[in-house]
Amino acid sequence: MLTGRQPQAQLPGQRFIDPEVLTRIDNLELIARGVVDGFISGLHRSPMLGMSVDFAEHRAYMSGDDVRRIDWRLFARTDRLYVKEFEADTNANLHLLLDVSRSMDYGSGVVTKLEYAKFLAASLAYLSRRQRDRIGLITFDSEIIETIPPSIKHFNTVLHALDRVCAGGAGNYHEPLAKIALNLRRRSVVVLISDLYDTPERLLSAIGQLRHRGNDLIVFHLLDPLELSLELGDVSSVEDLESGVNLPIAAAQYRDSYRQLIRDHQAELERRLGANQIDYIFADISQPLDNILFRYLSDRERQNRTR
Amino acid sequence: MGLSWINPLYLSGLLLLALPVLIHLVQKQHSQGARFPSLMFLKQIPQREKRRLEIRHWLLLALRCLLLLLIILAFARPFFNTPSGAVGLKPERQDSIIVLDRSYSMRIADHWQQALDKALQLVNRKQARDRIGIILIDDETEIISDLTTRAADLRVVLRNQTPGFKATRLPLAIEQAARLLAGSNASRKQIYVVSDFQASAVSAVARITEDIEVTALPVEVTRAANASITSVDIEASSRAASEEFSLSVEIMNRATIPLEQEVSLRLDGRELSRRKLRLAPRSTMTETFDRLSVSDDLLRGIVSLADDALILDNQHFFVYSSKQQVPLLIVEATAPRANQSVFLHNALGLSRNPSFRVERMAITTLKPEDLKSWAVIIMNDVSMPTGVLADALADFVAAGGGLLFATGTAAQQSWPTALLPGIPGSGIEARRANAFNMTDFESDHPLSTNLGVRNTIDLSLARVFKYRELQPGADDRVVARYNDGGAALLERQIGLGRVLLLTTTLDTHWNDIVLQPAFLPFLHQSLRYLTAFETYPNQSAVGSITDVMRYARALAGADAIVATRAKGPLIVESPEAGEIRISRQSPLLTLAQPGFYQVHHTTPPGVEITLAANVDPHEANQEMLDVTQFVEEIRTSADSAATGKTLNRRQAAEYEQQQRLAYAILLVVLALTLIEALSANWIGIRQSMRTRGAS
Repeated sequence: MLTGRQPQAQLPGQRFIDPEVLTRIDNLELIARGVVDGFISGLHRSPMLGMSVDFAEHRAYMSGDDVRRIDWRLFARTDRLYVKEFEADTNANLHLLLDVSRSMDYGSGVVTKLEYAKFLAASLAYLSRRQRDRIGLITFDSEIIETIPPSIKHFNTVLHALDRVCAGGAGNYHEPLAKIALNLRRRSVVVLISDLYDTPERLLSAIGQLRHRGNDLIVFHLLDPLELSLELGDVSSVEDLESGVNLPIAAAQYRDSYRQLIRDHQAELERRLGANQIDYIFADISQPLDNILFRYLSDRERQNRTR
Repeated sequence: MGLSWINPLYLSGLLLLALPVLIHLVQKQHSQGARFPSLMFLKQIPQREKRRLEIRHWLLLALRCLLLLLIILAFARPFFNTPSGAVGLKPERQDSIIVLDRSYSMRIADHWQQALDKALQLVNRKQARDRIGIILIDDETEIISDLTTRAADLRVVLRNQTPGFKATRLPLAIEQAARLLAGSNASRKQIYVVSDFQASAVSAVARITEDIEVTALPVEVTRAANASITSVDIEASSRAASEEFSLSVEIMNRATIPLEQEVSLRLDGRELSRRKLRLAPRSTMTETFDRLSVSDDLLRGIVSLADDALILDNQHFFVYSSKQQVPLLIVEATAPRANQSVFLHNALGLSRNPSFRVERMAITTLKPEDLKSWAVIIMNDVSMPTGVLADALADFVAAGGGLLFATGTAAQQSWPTALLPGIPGSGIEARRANAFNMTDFESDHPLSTNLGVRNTIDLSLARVFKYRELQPGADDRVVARYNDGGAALLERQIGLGRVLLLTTTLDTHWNDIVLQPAFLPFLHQSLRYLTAFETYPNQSAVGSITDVMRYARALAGADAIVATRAKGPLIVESPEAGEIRISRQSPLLTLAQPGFYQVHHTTPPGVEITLAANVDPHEANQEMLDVTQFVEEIRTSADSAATGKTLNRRQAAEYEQQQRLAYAILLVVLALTLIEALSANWIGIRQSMRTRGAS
């Protein structure tokens, strides 16, 4: 389980890339390589015509690489095999939109939703890096807090930014997402990670703005187990993390109604987003992260077949 | 076998069972809130009536209630009543003694009513099983009700009481009450002291056993203006023609303000004097009434003040009687020597205690029937009485009369051995050069004892030139001897009277005894011994016990023989209680109240003794003692404490057995406490985990 161990901290952001998680993701990658567009290099269709030839970097030769890409000159100097990588190899932008509103700073277990979102974002970024995608990050609550434009070189920057992220104020979707939509100049894969505390209508209205120019939208809906069950124990009142409003409750009596409302909310979101070609992935943050990625990639594969 | 309780009052603690329930509810109300990401969905849930006071953790609540219940039961100390009573417990019962002060100071204002009310309150407040006894106290204690559970009887007894005439002695009363409680097996023993707690009431610390509690219930003392007659001194003076006396009356103002008072003197019901006085605050003054003549044999006098807050100390009763002068006859020879009785007569005239009414008579004129008029007869060197006179003298002595016989030259005839002590010897011993000395006085004789060592030595310096030699008979006692061993003073007891015989003269004819300083005390003491004289009390204290026959001789005077020969009971007329009869064998009269007590002989009538009783003036002092300190000072005496410890040891084993059920309950309580602590801890940990998760 993702939450079962503390990530190592030798490098900034390394703790988000749990080796155990990534080992399993490696296995998934072999399966997903041919089906996930934009995630697995060489298999997904580029959303843009034409390719860049800008040299990006060298990397060690790996089995399966095209031998034509080996830099023989470098081999002559170093007696080691390196392949050249170019910007043109990356044919997709990955925008990670991370909701850092105060409500994300909640967790009944070891990790909060925000920390879980960071792990998820880092994992996706790592996957995208392997696919030579350009990686960008935007954090927001009721407004945009930090923006890292997509670039193949911004992987570490994104990890640094994720490491710095902390919970902000009250959340709002419409205005920050509208601004983000205006700044999306190229067709991109847009991943929104949030707890989606708003009505389905308003959420769809906000997220729908990102749908133009053929952006591929993926929404991760993160919730804590207590948010699903309302097993609050002996508490007689609850305080809204964002507004500070105190509400007296009788948790035991509210539980069934609350659970039904949550279920309805999830179902409505899934229905409405699905109807708008937006992938909706629900994540219980007590569940392992790779399970979610696996589910997501499975969904992508299924959707790819149908397209 | 039924279940009973040693301390059933503790069962009222069962009300505390509501406590755990309240605590559970309060804890519920005070439970912490939790933070939650969003209230979006919670707000959509319709608001319903919240059962905020819902009780949770029923098992824990039940456990706590059970714990409290068992603790209360253990404190109430249950035990099983066995039919045999072998395990019978000392019941939860209180035995109390109400010590009610009835001294005459309680007559001030409403002090007595207050005291009665307090006592009745104690009776009304008692539980059905409690026992109460009542002791009335003044300078002695009277148990008017032994320990009883009957409240109605106690109330009746209390309502029938009235304050007395005596002073208070608290320590004795408390010790008496403690003795009454000593036999009680009640779990609580209490002494309630209802009094005005005058400082004069405590002269020592009462000592009681440690298991008895003492509670003081003082009445609210009303400070009233009060003047008292604290003493009346009577000074007699003898004049040639009549008897006179003077009175010194000491009057004390106990108030803090000056008082205008009026003092009056009544003798035999007739007011002789009335004077106005001004008494300074807290001061004493003496008023004197001089030259009061005695016209009757017995005079009854009352000194009075005007009424104030306390009436009893405003009157002082006294009696004065001329019969206190002992009638004495000196019998001389028909032709006495010159100045034969001068020394004797002068010495008798100087006596005050008693004073003597002296007459002289020649032996030839003395008739047997005249003897009864005298208490003492001194035969000063006369011829020996013979015949009828000798018999009459013997009867006189046997009836209680006294006879002093001084031998000399005239006493030459045959010796009346039936009357006079001694057996005549060879004749008259005479020395001229070296006189005899009366050196050897019998040390344990009343004469010698009362004279004292100094007087004895002085008398031994007297020189005796001649004395009649006498050998003591079988019934005779030699009181004094000369230095040659000859008898100087012999004594014989005849009936109720005595005869003293001096073997030399009572003038300077044969000796110089009459010239010695010791002659006066010797003569007075000898006559006092012969008359069995007792100083007649002019005034007595209320509460004193008087042997009325003791004063019969002193007061009856010439009727002494009649008084002692009288028969039948004595009749006493008391000031208020009327006529009382007391037996002659035990003629003790208790002077219960102030006033005059007249004692009569039934047969023959006419002999009367009057005693005057007065209240103790100290009781009129209203200065209060420190009640708290008084109670604290009542310490357990060492002996009593030891007795208590012995009793405790004796009951310990039995008591231990009685406590077994309580001990068992306490063990269960201990186990349940452990379970409760573990349960509460576990629940607390679980709750804190939930709450932390929710936060």
